[in-house]
Amino acid sequence: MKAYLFIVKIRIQSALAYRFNVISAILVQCLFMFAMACFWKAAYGGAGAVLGVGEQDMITYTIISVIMGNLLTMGVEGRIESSVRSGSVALDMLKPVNIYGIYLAEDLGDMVVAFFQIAVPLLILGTVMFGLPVPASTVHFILFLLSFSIGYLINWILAALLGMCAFKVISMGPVRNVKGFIMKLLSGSVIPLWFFPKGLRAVLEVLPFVNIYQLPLGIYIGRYTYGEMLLRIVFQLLWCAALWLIFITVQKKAAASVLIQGG
Amino acid sequence: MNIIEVSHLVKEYKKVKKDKGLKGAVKNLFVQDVEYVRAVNDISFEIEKGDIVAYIGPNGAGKSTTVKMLSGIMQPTSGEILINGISPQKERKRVVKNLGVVFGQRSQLNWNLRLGETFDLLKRIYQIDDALYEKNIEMLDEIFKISEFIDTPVRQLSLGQRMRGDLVAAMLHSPEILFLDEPTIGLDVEAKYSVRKFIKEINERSKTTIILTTHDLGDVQELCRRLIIINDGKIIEDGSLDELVDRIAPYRQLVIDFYRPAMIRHPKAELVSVEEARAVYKFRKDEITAAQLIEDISHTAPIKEVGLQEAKIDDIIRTAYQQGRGAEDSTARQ
Amino acid sequence: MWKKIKYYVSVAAALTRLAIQSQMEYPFMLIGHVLANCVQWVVGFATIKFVVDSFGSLGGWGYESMAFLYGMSVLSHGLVVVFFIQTWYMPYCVIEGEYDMFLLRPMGVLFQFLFEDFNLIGITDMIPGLMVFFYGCAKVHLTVNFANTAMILFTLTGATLIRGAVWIFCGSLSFWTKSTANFTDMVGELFERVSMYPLTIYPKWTQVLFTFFLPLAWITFYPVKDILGMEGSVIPVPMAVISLGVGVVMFALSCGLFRVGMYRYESAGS
Repeated sequence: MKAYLFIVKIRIQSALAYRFNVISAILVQCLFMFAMACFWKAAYGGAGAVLGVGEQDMITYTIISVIMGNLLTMGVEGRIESSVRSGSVALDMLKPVNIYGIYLAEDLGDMVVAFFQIAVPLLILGTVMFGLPVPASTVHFILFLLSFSIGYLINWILAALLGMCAFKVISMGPVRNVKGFIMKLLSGSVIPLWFFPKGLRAVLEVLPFVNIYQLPLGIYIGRYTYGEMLLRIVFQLLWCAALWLIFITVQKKAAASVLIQGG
Repeated sequence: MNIIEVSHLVKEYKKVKKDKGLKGAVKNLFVQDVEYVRAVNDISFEIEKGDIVAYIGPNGAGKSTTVKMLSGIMQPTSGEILINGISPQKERKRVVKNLGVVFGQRSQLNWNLRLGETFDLLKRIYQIDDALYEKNIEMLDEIFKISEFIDTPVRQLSLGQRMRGDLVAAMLHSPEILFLDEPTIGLDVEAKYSVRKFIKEINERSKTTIILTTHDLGDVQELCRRLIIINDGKIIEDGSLDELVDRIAPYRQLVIDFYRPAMIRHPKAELVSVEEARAVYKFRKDEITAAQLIEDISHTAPIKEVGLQEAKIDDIIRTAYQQGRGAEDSTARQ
Repeated sequence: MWKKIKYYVSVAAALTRLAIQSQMEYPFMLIGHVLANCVQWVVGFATIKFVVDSFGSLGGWGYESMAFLYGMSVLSHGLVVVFFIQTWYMPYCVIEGEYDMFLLRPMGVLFQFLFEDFNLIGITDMIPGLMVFFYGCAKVHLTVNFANTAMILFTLTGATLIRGAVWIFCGSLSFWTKSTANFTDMVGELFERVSMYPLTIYPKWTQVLFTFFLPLAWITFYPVKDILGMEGSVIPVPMAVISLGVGVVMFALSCGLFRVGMYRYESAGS
């Protein structure tokens, strides 16, 4: 455990060294947040609630979504890819710690950094511009944290699985593009799925992506009843478990293929 | 005629000091300590047209920095460079037209395409007319034998072939000056040998002035008439290899095998060791010749076999590096 | 002068040919990008349709004109990706000293750099761009005549130059920061928000900002408004022409910044 904590600390240190990255990230994320909030303001144009969600709730949704987006950046896929490309994947397997544990620790370290460096400033800026994005209630907030954590894991496993594609695919560029687009559009991070046509929505809500953004965000703004929330979180957990099983299987197969080919 | 003139060249780098630990990382977010490092410290030299000069020194001595300034990639902090009478800093395009540069660690060839494609591109960039291009390709093919692999994608070439390709690419526009930065790095014995042969041939045929930096002293021994050694940003030696050897390592060793064990002394040579019938003498070249020494000794005892050992060039260069550093230290103390 | 232009064109053509040839060595990558980009932009457009369907209009713009705006935006995005994608690698080039090779050749560094990596893959962005663009044209019943065609061409050229200039600006910052920050990636996000949605959704001061100080509104918004004849403009000059002018000026400025940065690169070394 101590080794993993040390990795978290090292990540924090090296991230602090890049102050330019931090300032530019805050600036651009803030602009994005502002643009999306304006988008919703213009769309509502003073109308009360559309499809059961009010204007202020939609702005809260946007601010929290942008903040979440910064906490959910994953380095794991890139790291798996580069270790496959450079061939160091075989060496990684010789290390006395679980390499995926290290990747997760690194990503968690990055998240801690992103929280203080980007999320907090963004929350302050968002509050200044559009008012404090308050959760529906304390209970909702706690459930949001729970749901966010599960969503984080789902997102991480998906990213790791994507990184595993590097074992099979020559160029990861398009794969990563598709993933980025799925995250942006099908997870409800920019535009919530309740604006989508019914049939499409029904399909998308079954997929794991909504569980990363839309579910925690919906809970935060109090879109769901308690019963609904519980049901959805259970469903979210099921997805998390299922993806975990897939990940374990794929990872074992990948390890076996490395041992056979010799990296 | 001097084709390259360098006077009082200085290059200073800004170096940001990073503090240690988490606390340091937070501190560096706000304040950064800056210090200046002189990579090249007041260097002056001239190079004659048609010469082959080795520019050597330990890692971090300032070799690459100098070459980069000479070729116009980098701006000096102060001092002046004239190549063919023109400053590469003021008129980069005019100077590089007459320059060929090869970095051993970096290729200018297009990785994915056949070698010939890069040549075709360079023909356009340097505006080489068809007749000259044909002539140069023909001549370079004679030397480098590139037609064997001119249609192979660069990524499939061996390191030696790639280096030949890079040398041809640098020579296409018939430059008067060729900078070679570690041209034999990573090559096997055979490839090294042929690259050296090619460099020599280019120099002889087209009277190209060649400056090469290297860590391989074999390159120096085989190719260069002149040697500039630099350390800590300063020139510490400048002259021919022979001169350097005479000055730093004037001693030679003579190994003599007698028919039976003998202990014979000579006034002008030091008897280093005697082991059964073998004796080793150390003597100064300027005091006595090897032939004289052998003759003198053979008067006393019959000699079966002799061997003459020159000082090893590696040792000489190492000594030169150390001496340079020593001189630096003593001036610093004053 | 004519000889010089001919020289530059011949080198540009040679560089482009080599870049295309080397990308053809990896056909699967190309196909992958075609699929990824088509899905991305077409579905991206669909989501906007869903929102406009739910609300009726956005900042006074109806669905049809937004489709046209979106089409122009994606098309110019495709163009900038084709011609200027290399600027994304500027931080890498600065840190790794990749400009050394260009400095050793008797030609402008930026020119060699921009053409060295002509991006065939970027054309895959043009396919969905054209799809949405023609769909938008049909939706707004745009008459095909000389004036409209010329305006659209002006707009696209101006838009590509503005976008390219911003990328060069961002990339040139790495001459000073020496950081690998993928700044351009995030600026792309900003382009999308400003060029795909009507500017009228933003507060007044933002509109002023994007018109005069960070002139992103000229990428699509003003010229499109003009082409669609949405309201009489105060200036007698077509917006598309101004857009082109803004593009040329910004591009020239960005080249200037690159030049200053290059001087710094030469002084600092790597």
